[in-house]
Amino acid sequence: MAQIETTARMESTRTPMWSKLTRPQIFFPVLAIALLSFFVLLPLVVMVLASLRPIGTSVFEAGPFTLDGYSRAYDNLDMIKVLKNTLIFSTGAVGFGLPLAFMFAYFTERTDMPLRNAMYSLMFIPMSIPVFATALGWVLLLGPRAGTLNQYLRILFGLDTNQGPFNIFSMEGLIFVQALGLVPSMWLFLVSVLRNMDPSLEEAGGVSGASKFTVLRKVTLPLMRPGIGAVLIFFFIVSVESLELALAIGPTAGIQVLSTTIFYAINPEATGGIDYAIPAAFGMIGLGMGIIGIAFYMYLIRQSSKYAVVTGKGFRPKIVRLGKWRWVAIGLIFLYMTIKVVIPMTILVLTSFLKFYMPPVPQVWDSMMWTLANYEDLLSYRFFGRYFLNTIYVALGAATLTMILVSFFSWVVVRFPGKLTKMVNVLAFMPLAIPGVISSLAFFLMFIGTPFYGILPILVAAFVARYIAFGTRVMHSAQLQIHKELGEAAMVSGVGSLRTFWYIDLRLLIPAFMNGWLWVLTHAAKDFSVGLILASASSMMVGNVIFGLFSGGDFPSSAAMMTVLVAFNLSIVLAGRRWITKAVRG
Amino acid sequence: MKNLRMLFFGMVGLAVILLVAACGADATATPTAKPAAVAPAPTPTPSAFEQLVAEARASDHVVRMAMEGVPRELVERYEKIWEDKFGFPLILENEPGHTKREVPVKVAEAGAAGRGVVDYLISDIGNLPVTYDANLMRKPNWDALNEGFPILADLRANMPSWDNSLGEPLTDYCISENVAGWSFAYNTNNLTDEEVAGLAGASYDILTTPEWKDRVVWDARALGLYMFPFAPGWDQARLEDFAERLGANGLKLFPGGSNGVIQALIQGEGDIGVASVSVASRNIAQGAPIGVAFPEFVSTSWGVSCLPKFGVNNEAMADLMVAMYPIDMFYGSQDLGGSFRIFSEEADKFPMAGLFAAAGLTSKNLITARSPDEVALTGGYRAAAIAAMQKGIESQ
Repeated sequence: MAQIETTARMESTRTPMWSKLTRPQIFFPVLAIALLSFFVLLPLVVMVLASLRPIGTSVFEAGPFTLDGYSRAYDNLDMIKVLKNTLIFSTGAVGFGLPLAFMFAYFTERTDMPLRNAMYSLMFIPMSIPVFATALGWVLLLGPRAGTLNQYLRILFGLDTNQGPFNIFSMEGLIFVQALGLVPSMWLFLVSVLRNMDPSLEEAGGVSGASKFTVLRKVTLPLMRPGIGAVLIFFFIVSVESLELALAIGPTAGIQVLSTTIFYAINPEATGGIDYAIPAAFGMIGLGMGIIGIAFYMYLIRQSSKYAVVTGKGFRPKIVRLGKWRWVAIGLIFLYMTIKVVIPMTILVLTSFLKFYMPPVPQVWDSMMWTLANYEDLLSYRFFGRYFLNTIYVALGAATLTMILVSFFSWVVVRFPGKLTKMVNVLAFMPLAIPGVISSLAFFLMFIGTPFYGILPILVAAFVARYIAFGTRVMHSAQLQIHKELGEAAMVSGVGSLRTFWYIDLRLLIPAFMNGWLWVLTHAAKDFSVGLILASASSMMVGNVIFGLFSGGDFPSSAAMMTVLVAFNLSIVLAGRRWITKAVRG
Repeated sequence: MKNLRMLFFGMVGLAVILLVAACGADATATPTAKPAAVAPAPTPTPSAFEQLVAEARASDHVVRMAMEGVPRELVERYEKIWEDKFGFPLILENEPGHTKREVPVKVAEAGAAGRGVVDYLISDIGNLPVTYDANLMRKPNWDALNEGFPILADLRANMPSWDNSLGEPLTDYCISENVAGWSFAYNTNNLTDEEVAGLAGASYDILTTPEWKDRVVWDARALGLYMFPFAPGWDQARLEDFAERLGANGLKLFPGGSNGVIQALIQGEGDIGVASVSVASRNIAQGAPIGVAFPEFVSTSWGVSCLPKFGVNNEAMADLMVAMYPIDMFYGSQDLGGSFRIFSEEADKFPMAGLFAAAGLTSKNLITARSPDEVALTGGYRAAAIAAMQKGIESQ
């Protein structure tokens, strides 16, 4: 009898707990936290643990914990120099790219520049070109002695030297190429800041007799300060994670940054042995830099409420008439496009038709060996299809899974507000603080030595972890625009929460979903770093092959494969943009 | 009714045919049913080598190995040589990573978890301990391979050897694959005849003279340099002094090992450098404006052909690769450029060995780390060389 009572009491206490957990407002946030923990927290915990393991010990092996890994990592390297290089590179790239991006965003949103509506498609062109392609192009153009452009400049100006005048293998060269790559994404962020800003203060400035430039300097820029600050910090972190560019230019320039330090630590020479604590210890520095950056970012976001630039009333910004200068404005954008896309891609395409790369200058013109073999080789190479399929699989998988997950997270955050959803929000935001090379490193450390290492789904997961923060921002804003009433009506009609999310919310969110999907797809397809850190023979992507060919000194084959990759990316982007535009209009 | 009858006879006919076929099969399958006088001669037991080949033939024919920087023509040639010899295909798969420096580490990482990343491993002796000492290598089927490749015993005997952590000699696991010498490589368009003539047997110190200022390129990871202290008259101090003077003479560093150096020379970023003979000769074979000259001594990476304990695909295919790669494939791809070995019995197989001898060099002029103790020093030498080159470059 006593036994029955005890059991009954236990069940009576257990049932409410269970029913509590199955309530949508608990169940869905907990599920979201569990998913985010796998993608964001777990790899970081593994990295921290790895940094504390003795030499030759993997994370999951039994054994003591020690701080020796940190001394092993930092004693053998001039860490101050590496950090200094990283700071100069990242600050320089953002400092050079931001004014350009702001100028282009201002032209697009606030002036009568020609073709400004086409900018949204135009800017996706440089965005879809891998930074490695731009780097390779400029290496061929501005190599100090053999660079094509340098040689023509020496001929043109009669310079009596066989070096320069420019040297891509330098910190300036690194910053130049990185900044060119940052501009389109920065532009995208700044355009949205400008569009959401109430122009009444600017108009008041204009009415008070201030010139256009004074209004820009004294009203527009201060109003945008939090937005610009946020862009600055976000892209600083993006620059810290830049790997492929630093690998292409850094060794010759004698410049080692944090990302390359991590890469070399993951790929040690056999004589150095295996020591996972070293890359993990370097990774902790990157994580620290990211966290400091994001703390500033959060501070700026909080500050932005003071500026109250977005109001509830509808507004239409006044367009600044540029007069004759409108052609200068569009000219500057085309100049950027020429430097970022046309010139490097021209030399790449040209190189792809050469047997051996030689700069196309008069003195070697006769020795140049033109060929179609690089393309024939690609098409007949039996692994080309597999590498391409791997790339498509990973890019499609990453884009689709990321957007489904972030749609779910955003839905949870908006529909079930509470303490748990605050945690969802924080976890979904965390990847912003984690440079991509660090999250890939964390996945590497988590799966090395397990049957999952090097398989395609792990590459997909690494991309998902990287783009969760971006995707959540996109879907969260869109989700806010869907009124709760729709969901409530469905619930009243007896439709479950998940079906409501699937059949109502997700369908209404399709344009935002597709925009985010396209962004992730393009970025995953053009990214080399995740593949370089995580791929094995069965999961090699096009980026691995291009980098391998480049590292192996085979510039023509590398250029041919890059040309195909760029063509593929561009066709996806342009088709995607077209489809989205039609869908939105429809 | 008629149809039913036809069906019945049809079925009976089919049953008779099946019965006859079954009896016939039984008759051939049972030798005792035949008179002893006409019994077939017993099939000879296949040799160990034939068994190995039969196992390989029955597999999916895939061998995964590291082939970074190996051009497609060469991969296809290897596969053709295999098919011509055995009559069934070989499908080579490439594992990313530097063949000799990085892939042994991957093998060790995966092997610690009982997994494989490659089926067949080409490395050099200096990079082998990470897998060899961790007992992560497998002994090839020597009995079978000796039968199929008579020169194999020489290739094992000619290799420096030492014991692993289990006290077993390296020669139980590997054979010499090549002697990857790092020679002078130069752009034939940019050097005068006098300059070329002065390179054979020359001291490396010429690269630090004003004649070669701003003309020298080198691998950013100090390819070859880290072996210099093993040369007569050299030590770490001499290495650092040389590397710093080299850096101060307008040296440019490129990633990508020998391939990177050769590409820098072809495009004219430098006129001379030090690169692997095999990479240089491969480019020469394809028509690149590259020449090779052997200096006073030649640093070498002593290439070995081995098997990891844990593979990915069929073991018999990998066993055969241990011998095929350094013998048939090595000989049969020399026209596409190749490295060499300096064993007298096969000297005529390697054009580069002739060039080496023409420079008045012998095996005494080959320098390398020949013992575990010497191998242990190379990491430090490499770091010292890189630091000294950078110091020299920054001093300009």
